[in-house]
Amino acid sequence: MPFPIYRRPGGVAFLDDDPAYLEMLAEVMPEHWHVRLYQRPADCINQLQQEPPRHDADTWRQKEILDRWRDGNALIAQLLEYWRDDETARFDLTKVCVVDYSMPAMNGLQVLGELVNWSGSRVLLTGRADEQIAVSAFNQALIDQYIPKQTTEITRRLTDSIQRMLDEPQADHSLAWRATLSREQMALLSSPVIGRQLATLADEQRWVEHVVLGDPFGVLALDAAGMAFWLQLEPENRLEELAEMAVCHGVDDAGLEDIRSGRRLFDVEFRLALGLEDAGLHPAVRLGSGPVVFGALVPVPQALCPGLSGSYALFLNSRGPRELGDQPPAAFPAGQR
Amino acid sequence: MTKPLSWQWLLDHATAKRLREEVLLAPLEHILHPSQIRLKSIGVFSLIGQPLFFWIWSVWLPQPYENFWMRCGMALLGALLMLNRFSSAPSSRSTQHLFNAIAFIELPLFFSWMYVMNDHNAVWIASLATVVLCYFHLTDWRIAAAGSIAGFLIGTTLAGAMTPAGTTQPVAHLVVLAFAWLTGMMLGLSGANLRRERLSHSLTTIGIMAHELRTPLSTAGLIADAILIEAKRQPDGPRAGKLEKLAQRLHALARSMNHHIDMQISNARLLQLSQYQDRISARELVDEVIAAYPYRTSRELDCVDVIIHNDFWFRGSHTQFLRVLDNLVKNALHSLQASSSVLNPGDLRIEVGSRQSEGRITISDKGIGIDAASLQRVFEPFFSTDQGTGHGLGLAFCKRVVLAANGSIRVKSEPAAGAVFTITLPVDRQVAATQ
Repeated sequence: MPFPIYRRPGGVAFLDDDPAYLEMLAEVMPEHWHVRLYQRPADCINQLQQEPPRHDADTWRQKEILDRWRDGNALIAQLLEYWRDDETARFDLTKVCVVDYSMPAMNGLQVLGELVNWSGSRVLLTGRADEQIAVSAFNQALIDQYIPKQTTEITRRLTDSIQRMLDEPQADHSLAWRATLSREQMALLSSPVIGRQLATLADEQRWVEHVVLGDPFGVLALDAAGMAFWLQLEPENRLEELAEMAVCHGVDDAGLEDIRSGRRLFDVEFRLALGLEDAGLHPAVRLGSGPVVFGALVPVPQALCPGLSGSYALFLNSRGPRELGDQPPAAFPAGQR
Repeated sequence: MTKPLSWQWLLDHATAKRLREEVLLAPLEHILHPSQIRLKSIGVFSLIGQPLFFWIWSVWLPQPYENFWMRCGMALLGALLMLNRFSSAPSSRSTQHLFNAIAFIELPLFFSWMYVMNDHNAVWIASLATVVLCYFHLTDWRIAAAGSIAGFLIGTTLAGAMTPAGTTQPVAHLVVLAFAWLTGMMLGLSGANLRRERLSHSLTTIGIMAHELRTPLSTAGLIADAILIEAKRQPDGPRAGKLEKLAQRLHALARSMNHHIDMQISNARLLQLSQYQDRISARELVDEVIAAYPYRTSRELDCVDVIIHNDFWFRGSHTQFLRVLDNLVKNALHSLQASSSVLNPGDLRIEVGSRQSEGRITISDKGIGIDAASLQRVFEPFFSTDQGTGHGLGLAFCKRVVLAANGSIRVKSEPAAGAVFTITLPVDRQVAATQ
């Protein structure tokens, strides 16, 4: 998989008429997911149907950033401002909806059929008898995946499938942000080795959200605590140009040598985009074999980051424990059945 | 404009469909309420009744015609049913054929013949009408309906040929006979319907019950996963290992229950077995069952011995045959469990072998065995030797599946010495040739 151009966390909604099953599902799903539980189809449909307008507004906001960029405004500063303004609202959008097929009143496919404008991925949980229905629904592209409830490895299969769907970049966002990248930059990102190395780096740095930008070239990323980072990327053939810029800023000979050999990168374009003065050198790593790109990680000044108040960690925390409103009774009261 | 409700419409839809189901699709019940005691008493009744009535109609209340040798023949024919060979296997094909032949000859054929030979007199029209009703009580209503007409036509024609100048048959007698015939058919039809409906109700209930257990079981599986995750969060905790073991046990339990539910649901589909024609290797089938069976202890697994003399291929439904062997293995393990002794390797033996066109799978256990009285009934639906815990569908299911594959299943058992179930199947030569 090539390194996604735009990635951010999204919610997972589970709908099942059996509260005990639902709560145990929530229990075994990874902690870093935003999980929402629904016992009634109507609640689930209602909630998800409210999302498309919010999703559209968010897409519009991103489009505005790109429009202003074309008018000459720096992307990095705009994006950081968008993240600060938005706080955590964008994390609240649901990316995957997992629905049990057999429910009283309404089956899972009917529920998914009601979600007309909602654009996330759809998963159907099936019993043994429903497999044929699921296969035909899959063939008609009504669902993206079905998982039999009785499979012994339900937890692993569900987690893997949903994680894959969460990682899948949203088509409209990717397309929009691609506009900032040159053909040469796209080619570098599509290289499997570079893609894998960038993904590993993203995992190591615990980024929850990132955007790949072309002007300047790099990745603007956000970790769970709301701290932003700039991963400056320089193709091999641009190092000389970067060194020349460094000369103008009075970098010493040792520094220039480091830049030319890709040991360190000079963050002048990033500083410029944020209107900051004190450009500096940052240790770089070599990414890729064949086509090569050098990357250096630069922390974004704290004042410009969304911070804890706009962090994914706080957002998850504010959701509280994964519980349904109704709790199953601990035991039957004596004399009552 | 609505379509006018015509007789034709009714016939095309509801009634015709119903009729097709009742007349054509419902399986034939050759012997109603088949049991050893019933077959034996029919034999005794024939052996004593035929000479007795010969004496009544020739000595005490003489009728125009009697025939001693014919009466003897009828008595002996009926007495065949007393033979253990037939009465001990009331559901076997040979017993069914014999029973059908005896009932046809002794009832509509013999009585119609006697009715004409006795000049259509009052004694014999009454007897013949009674016999028609009796016939419907003994066998499937469709066999009885067709048999009484055929018997009547053949019997009267034969007798007519032998008595050149007999009296003509009063029309009133035909009306009486038609009345008896129609009444017998109506009651037979509704009785058959009722029996089948009761069976299918019980089967449906079992299926639904089993199905209802699935969701809580899936939840149990998730609880096990949640415990595992919790244990992994504190891998150094003093009880982490214990927690992991408990979670594995819970997983194993859920798996085993799901396995049993699968088995019960397929057993309950007794009446709707569909005809699949997979090519099955007996050896692979046995291996698959033995590998997937949810043994309760490792000792149970160790006591199973599989001996392949030579593998063979046959045709049948793969999934259904998996359940057949599942059922037999389950029964054998239960029986071993009940026979208090410690399990030893070889206590449950599965053998696969073939000779010429006949393949054979035998499952033998050294368990408690089956007593002689139960032995002949184990393949009947709702008969269980395990009163209270079994519902008696497993072996009935096995039998239907094996029969559907043109095979047969037999059981031999000595109480306290174990049981041997033998499945015999025709070898699929086409597959054998490609081997």
